[in-house]
Amino acid sequence: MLKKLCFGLMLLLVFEMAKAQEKSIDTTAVIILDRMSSVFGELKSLGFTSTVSRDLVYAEDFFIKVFSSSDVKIEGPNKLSARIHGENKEDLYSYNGEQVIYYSYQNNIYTVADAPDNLIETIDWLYTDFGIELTTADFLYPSFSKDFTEQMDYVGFLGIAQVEGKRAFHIAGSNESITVQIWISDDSYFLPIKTLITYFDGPYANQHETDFSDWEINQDYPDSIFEFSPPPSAKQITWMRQN
Amino acid sequence: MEKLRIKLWVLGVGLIGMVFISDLAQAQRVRAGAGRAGARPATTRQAPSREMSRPPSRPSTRPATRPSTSPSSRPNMSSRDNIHPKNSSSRPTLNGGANKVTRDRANNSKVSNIRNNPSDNRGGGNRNTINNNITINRNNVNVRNNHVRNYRPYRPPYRPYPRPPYIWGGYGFSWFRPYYYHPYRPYYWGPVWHPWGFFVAALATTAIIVSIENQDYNYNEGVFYVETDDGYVVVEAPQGATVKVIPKESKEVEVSPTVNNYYYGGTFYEKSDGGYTVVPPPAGAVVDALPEGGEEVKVGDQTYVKIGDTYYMPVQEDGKDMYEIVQVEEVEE
Repeated sequence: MLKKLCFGLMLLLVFEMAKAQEKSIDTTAVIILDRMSSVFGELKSLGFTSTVSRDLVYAEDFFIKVFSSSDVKIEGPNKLSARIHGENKEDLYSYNGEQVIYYSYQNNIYTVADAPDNLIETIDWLYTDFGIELTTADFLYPSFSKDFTEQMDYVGFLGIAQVEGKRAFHIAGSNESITVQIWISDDSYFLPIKTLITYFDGPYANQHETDFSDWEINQDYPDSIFEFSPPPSAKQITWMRQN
Repeated sequence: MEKLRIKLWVLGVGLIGMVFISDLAQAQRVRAGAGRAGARPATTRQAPSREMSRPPSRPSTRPATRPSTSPSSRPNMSSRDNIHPKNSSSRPTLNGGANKVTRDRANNSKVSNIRNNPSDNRGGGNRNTINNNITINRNNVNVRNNHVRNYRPYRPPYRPYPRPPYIWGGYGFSWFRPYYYHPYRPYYWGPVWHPWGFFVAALATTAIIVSIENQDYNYNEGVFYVETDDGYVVVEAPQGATVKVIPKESKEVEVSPTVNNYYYGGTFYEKSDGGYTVVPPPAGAVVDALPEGGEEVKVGDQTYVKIGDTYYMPVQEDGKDMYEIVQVEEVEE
């Protein structure tokens, strides 16, 4: 009897251990993500429109949805232009390889900061120093599939879905604090059509949804579009760093 | 046999044709590719023109290198490419590059953080250099009075803030009213009022001497001066100083249901036994005008006016542009 009990306990322990280490990564999903990442890795320039809706805690037990859209143009290795249309603001972030400029169309004020000399570092620096989160940039870098599969406990291919009339691969990843869904177009470029992130780490779960459209691949953008000339009477103000 | 020969001939021609056409197509594609890649190898595209003409000292060298491209040195249209190396030879453009009338203006980086106050040092006009050096002479006067004992950039409100503070760089920013941006336009309180750093050769006869912490100030009509070698320089009102009268234009500011302060020229006074005592700006209170000497700073998504060490947030009350004094306290991250 005791033997049986011990055996049962051991079995339970082994089972629990196995459960703790459980990590399920679907190879089909990884192949699709890899393909998307490698396309991004080979691009010289990229343009797209992203439409974002996200939940915002307005007060306790009071969520509101905030909408915005961005016209983004990125050119390797060090150019970026993002014009963000929010509900009550319109902003521009412009990076010419040397400086990042923020301009508020509504208030006609701008800030200038000397930036790192490449895009990846600049995107990180914008976040750490100025709290600017270019969420879409999280998906658009070459090692995305590697980082994604490392950070997620579960990555799965949920099948073919129709998103806005297009065939798309529906892929999901999750860990204890986040669930990420990505719909990747089933065509030669494997570009994302939609992403939906659900965060569980706050007091309430909240979502961040992005729709991508108007992709421009390897267009030869003129340098001038990444340069900023202050409009007449625009006022430069000081930009406060976080550290 | 003859038919077979014709068939073979046709096949041969067909094959040659296919090879030739595919070669042409290939050449076309390669050329297109080479054209692009050659013209803009992503990593080196900017190198020749930019990095040579403006290396580390970007803003200062830029104007210096510009004159060579100015119209006067332009012999004829054919040298356009030399004038505008940025849009030049290595990169075919529609019309040989733009021939702009305006010059590109160098944008100077202006970044700060909450812990240091580099942008206090501003001169210009009738103003003197502002720094923390206490030496008294006309060009080196400490117009800030944040060294006085118990100096505070603000004093906390009587009621708690309804929301947790907005954390930025180790500091928590708190306010009551909704943020409503309006541009900072310094206000002038009439001909006898002057901003910090303003120099006057002589004072009005109504000026009195106020002494606090072994420092003499000359006070007149809501303005504090420090004597220099050849005149007087306006300084920040020293907190704790008491004066008998304040200008009649002073406005009452509600600090709590029972306490009102008086506001004039960027200084807050509280009525005391001996008259009116200079007090720190009351966080949570609103004022309708700010003096010269402040700067607009972007902290996260919002823009404040920073005067000395105090942050004022643009708000609106009853449809009128106002500023709320913000509480900015250090927080543990």
